Amino acid sequence: MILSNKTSVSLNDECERGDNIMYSVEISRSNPGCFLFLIDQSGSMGDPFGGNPTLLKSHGVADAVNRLLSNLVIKCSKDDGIRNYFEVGVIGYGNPDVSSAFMGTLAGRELVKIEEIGNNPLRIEERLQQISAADGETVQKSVKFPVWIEPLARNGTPMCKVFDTARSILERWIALNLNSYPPIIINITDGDATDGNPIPYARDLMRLNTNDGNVLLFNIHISNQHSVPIIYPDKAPTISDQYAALLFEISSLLPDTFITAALNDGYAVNQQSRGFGFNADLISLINFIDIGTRVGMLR
Amino acid sequence: MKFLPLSSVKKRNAVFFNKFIMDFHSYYTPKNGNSMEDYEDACGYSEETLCFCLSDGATESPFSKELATLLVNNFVRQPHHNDNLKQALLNAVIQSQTRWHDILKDKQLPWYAEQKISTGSHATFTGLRLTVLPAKSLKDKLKRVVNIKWETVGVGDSCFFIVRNDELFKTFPVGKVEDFNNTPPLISSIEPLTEENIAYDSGIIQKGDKLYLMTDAIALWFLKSSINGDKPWVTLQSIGSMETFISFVDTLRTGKEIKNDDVSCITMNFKP
Repeated sequence: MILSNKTSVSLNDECERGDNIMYSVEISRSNPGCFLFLIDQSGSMGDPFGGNPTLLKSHGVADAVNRLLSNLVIKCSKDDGIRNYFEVGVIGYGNPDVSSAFMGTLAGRELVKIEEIGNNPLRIEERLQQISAADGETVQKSVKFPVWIEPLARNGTPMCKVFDTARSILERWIALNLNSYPPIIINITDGDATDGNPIPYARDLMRLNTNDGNVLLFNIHISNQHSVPIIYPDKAPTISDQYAALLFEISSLLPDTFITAALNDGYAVNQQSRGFGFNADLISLINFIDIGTRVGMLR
Repeated sequence: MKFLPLSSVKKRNAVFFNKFIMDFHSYYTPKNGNSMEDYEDACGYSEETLCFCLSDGATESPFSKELATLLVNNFVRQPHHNDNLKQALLNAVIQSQTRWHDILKDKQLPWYAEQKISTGSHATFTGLRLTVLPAKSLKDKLKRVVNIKWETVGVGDSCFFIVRNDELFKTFPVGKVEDFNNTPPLISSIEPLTEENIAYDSGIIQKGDKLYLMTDAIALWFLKSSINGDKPWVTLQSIGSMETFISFVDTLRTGKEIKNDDVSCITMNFKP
């Protein structure tokens, strides 16, 4: 476990939206982007999710990551297969420490091309999905649900260490992809770090940059509390969960391109909105990333 | 009104095309870094129906190249020359949707393609039809005065422009630079298109008119340049060959004057 003597730095704008940061580089096969998911697999994730005693937080996290991966693969797929627009990693923390959370063929891998991810799920489940029919009725439809990550809940929450690991992985990636769109990190957790104050580690991570801007750190806060989901807030949520404010604080401001796309998709966002969701999945983030003419909301 | 038989119309149109239209070119080039296999626009025209069109398959859609190609082919081959042009596009969309389903129905697809196809393919479209109008009077007939009607239909941000008297006279259907974005209206391979979603305009060709059909990336450059007081039509007129066009588009991309996208363009000038 890494416990550093770093002091908490005051939050300022150095890692946030700067005048010269454009987030405008085109994501393409010759200039791919990078997604890194950090998922809390600690013991506290075995608690109920969102006030629902039958659903555990670990299941909420696994479902959120699997849906995010699935939507990312679908976004990159064309008739000729999956186009390698992204390299993607999923790092688990807590079970037992910090390591790749991929299972099956991809086990142990850090960053994997999106084509390999799409073609190598651990399994594909059939799940029932509620969809709105043309006549307004809600009907159930069976859909394929690929699974790469299983629910796990053991040990502590080494959030400082996972931010440090992410920094190390992304430093290497950025060295090879300096002209690419900045990496996007999505951290999914209940916020209860057990190895120190994660803020300085998060700030170090957010200081990394490509020529197109700083790394974007977005947080999904999975809570025991039963409350209305919050998505892309412009100020720290006033809910009683003690970790919400901390995770909001270490969430990047949405780049202008995301704000435009979010407004188009009906989200109430502004220049101060951050990549933060409370008991919300942030699937819509995938739709904000520009790889060409967009069609509409991803499911 | 007396209509000529279709075969006569086709013959007359072909004569018209060769007699009145100068410097006709159809240019296209894929996104930088892609091959022609990845090119997802389609452009087509018919000298017999005097129909010209472009379609831009949405990057995020599967089989959008197929949809764009079907739309273009079905539009230029319209069998009913006197159709309302919006109706002609609706017919082309229905034919294309049927064929799109036929192409995909027996394909074995992986999970991601299956899910993506359930939302359909998507493409923008702009089409132009020229119609040689009957002479209004005996005097016109004797003087061999030819009036030509132009009609255009569009869905999304593929554009039609007319340059008249060395000025940009018509921009269709997107009139402002700020209206170009990454979520244009699109024709779907599975959702019905309605007349209200089709933009339409028409007018009479004047001597020396220059007509252009363009997909969004180059259309935005054309519109911006015109607004800035440049004359992008002069640049386009000087091109003359596909190789020069590709090199010209590469230069625009390098200078970040246009986004890296598939580019298609049809140009034609009427005799002064």
